[in-house]
Amino acid sequence: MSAPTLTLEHMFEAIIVWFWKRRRQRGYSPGAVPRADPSPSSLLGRGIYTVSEAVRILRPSLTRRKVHYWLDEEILAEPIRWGRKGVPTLLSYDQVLRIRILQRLRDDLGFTLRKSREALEWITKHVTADQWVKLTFFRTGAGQVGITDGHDAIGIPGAQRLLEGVLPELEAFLAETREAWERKVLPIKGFDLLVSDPRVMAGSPVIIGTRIETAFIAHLAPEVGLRDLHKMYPHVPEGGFEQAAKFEEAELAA
Amino acid sequence: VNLLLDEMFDAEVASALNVLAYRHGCIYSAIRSIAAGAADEQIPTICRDRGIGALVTANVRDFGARLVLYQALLDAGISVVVVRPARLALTPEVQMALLSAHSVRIAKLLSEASGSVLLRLTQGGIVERSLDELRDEIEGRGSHLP
Repeated sequence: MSAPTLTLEHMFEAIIVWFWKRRRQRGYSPGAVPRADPSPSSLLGRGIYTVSEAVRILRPSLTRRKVHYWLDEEILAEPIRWGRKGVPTLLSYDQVLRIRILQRLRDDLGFTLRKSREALEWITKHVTADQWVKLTFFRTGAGQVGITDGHDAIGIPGAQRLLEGVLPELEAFLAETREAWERKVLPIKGFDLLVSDPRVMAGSPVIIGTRIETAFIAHLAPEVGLRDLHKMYPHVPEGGFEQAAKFEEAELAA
Repeated sequence: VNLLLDEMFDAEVASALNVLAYRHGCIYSAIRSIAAGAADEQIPTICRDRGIGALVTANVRDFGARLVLYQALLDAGISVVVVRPARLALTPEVQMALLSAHSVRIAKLLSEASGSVLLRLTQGGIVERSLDELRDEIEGRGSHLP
């Protein structure tokens, strides 16, 4: 396996990130704008996620480092709270959805943030706008990839490897993300009985229709077997505990 | 004092604890029996409608994120008792044992509190946090909960 090549572009991005980190360590909050509603009770229903939790929900290709990079680059908007040593950064549900979009577009389009920032902001803004208009990808005459809402359009200059077959999938993904934004329920890929609902346990992954966190099932797993879990929680759908344990990479007691 | 057990608690624990309510002074209800899968926003209303003063919940991970949720509930006038089991698995028998052992003090602290409070319950005992102390803690101005 060949070692990754360090390009000038990578070095430039690293310097920018270092610069912002230094500024924040000195008390500067990037992109700081007065928040519309900072009262604690207004956070009920908005979802409160640590970066680790967001990474767990959106795995496997997401890393904490990537999320912190996007935060530092101000593409995710202001978090609920910036973290520091011993105090985690807290994200809102909207930000988790933005991360989901960025992750997918990055994986499928292979963009570089520096080149595609404007387009990415355009897309995330449209997906979380009050009125939803279906977004459609297109290719310009010059082979560049663009996206339109029917009235407005923007090119994605960093998109390097878009295959025609990916277009409908990406459009469906954006529509699905919009649905998750409207319904305020984020499905967890590969686990149909688990959800992250910002209105329930502040968005911590739970078994569908309950307030039972997957983390709590993982906590009980070494001590409580499947039969006893069903006795404890008779209302949990069949397969819910197994999915919770699998999601948490825990093994249920025999 | 009326308390609401969150859904991760075995609903039977509420009935069992209530047998000794004449001793400890706490009357427990289980949210599962009232509104399984209830949204966080519904909890203050559920509590107020039933004369319940506190939610008993458990936290096993991501305390930083949950602190903000607890703060929101406190701000809405609901006290929160957070069970932090540390190395103990919070099996139904441990839920029973912890709550049974500390219900007298929970009742005392809640009835003496002038507003909503956060009580952190571990095997070792109970620590009280006011909303202001909690806010300081979240903002990193005060000492951190272990």
